[in-house]
Amino acid sequence: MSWETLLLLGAGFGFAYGFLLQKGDFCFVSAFRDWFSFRYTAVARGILVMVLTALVGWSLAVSLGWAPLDRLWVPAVGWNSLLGGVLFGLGMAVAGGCASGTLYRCGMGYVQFWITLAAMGLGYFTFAWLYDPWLLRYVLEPLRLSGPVTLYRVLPWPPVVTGLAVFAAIGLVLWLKVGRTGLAAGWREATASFRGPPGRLLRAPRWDTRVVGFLLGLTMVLQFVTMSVWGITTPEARLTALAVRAVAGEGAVAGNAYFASIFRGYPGLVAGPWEVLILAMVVGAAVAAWLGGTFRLRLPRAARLPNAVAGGFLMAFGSRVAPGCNIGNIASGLPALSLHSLVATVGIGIGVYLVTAGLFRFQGARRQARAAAD
Amino acid sequence: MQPSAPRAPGDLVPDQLAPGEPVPGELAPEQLQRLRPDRVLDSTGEVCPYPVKQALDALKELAPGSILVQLTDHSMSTQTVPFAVRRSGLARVLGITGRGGVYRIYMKRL
Repeated sequence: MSWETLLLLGAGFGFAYGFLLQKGDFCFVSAFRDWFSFRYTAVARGILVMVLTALVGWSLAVSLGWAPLDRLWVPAVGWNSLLGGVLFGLGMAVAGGCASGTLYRCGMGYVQFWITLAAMGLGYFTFAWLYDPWLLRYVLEPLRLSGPVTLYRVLPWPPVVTGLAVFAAIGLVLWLKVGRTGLAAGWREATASFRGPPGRLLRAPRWDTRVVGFLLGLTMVLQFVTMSVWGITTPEARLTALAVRAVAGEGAVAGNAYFASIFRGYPGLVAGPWEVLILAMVVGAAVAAWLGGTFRLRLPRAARLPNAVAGGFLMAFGSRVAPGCNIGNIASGLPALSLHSLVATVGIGIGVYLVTAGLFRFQGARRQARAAAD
Repeated sequence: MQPSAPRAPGDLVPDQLAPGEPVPGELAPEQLQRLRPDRVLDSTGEVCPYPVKQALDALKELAPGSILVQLTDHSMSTQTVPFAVRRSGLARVLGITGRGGVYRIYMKRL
């Protein structure tokens, strides 16, 4: 496929992702933090639907020969998978938004998340600056345990069998947990929320997270068949490199081992389809918010600026150590049945838990005593 | 429920919700607007989890029967605040109105 076609596809997929994330208010931090705090599960359910849709779609696509198995993103496994996940989880909980959440909220007009995004740039730059030799020699190489591991390659049968078996296993657990009536009620709720003329749906301020999760999963399947898996933080690191070049010149980027490594396969130091994709996510979210009447220039409180800066920095740095963010490891890594992404996802959960318990002290967690006044 | 006047897109009132989505509170927008709040809590500019904490802290200080109105421009809070408040048992959520990305969450202390 030509580079120009890929640029167009990147723009289209990015727009769709941004639009859907905004419509669902698809906040990965909420999925962890609000479950730890007060058992709010709307986003977690959406994520589960998204991961299951991509799991079935991708494994089917590979078995039908629509895409090579190599297209799955399966990095090497190591303690850095866990460490990077924890750092990313700490960062996203402090910032109040993950890698994708930061982008869709940038599109909604949140100035706080533009600051988070700028701080992420600083995180990518710091990682690249320390990469060779310090991080590579003293952190990343010692922490490495094995090469890439995916269940699809471990098991001898075709990927679609593995994919459907994992889907069935998770479905069975859900069945045992909520029962047939629970699953049927969920289906009815989700589909009922999505009936109505398209104009009305486009103007609705929010869509059911399960419907959004399914549509995100379908978009991921289309992207997988035509181009690649979905990622955010590596393209952001490339955009950071381009910003560094604009300020400090070509040599500052070309001479850096990390920056050079992430432009491998590119026709030069240029923004490619994956960078266009993340920029288009911001546009898609802005359009969705504008249609739904939820766009607004939101100015942050000065007291929260440390959250934006520290959270953004930690997210970016963690996403390079692992590697991968919530999209790389949860959205794209779990359906790839990648051991690295499973470990990193556990790490993200630990990171969010630590912030929720330590910094926020499970706000909203306790059932409060009835008014003592009467 | 009384037929309501046309509203701008983004109003989180029953006739603007996605079809089938549960109505977020107990009262119609006209009834909500007639309420006299005992306290108005301004949480604009805050993102999660601060609006939830601020709503619960404010409710704890109010006497039973008092009305709290929370202002927020964080769209996620229109989901998490009602959920956390109901779960805490501190208050009933009477409803949510909103326009242009700013929402008012009406709560009655139990």
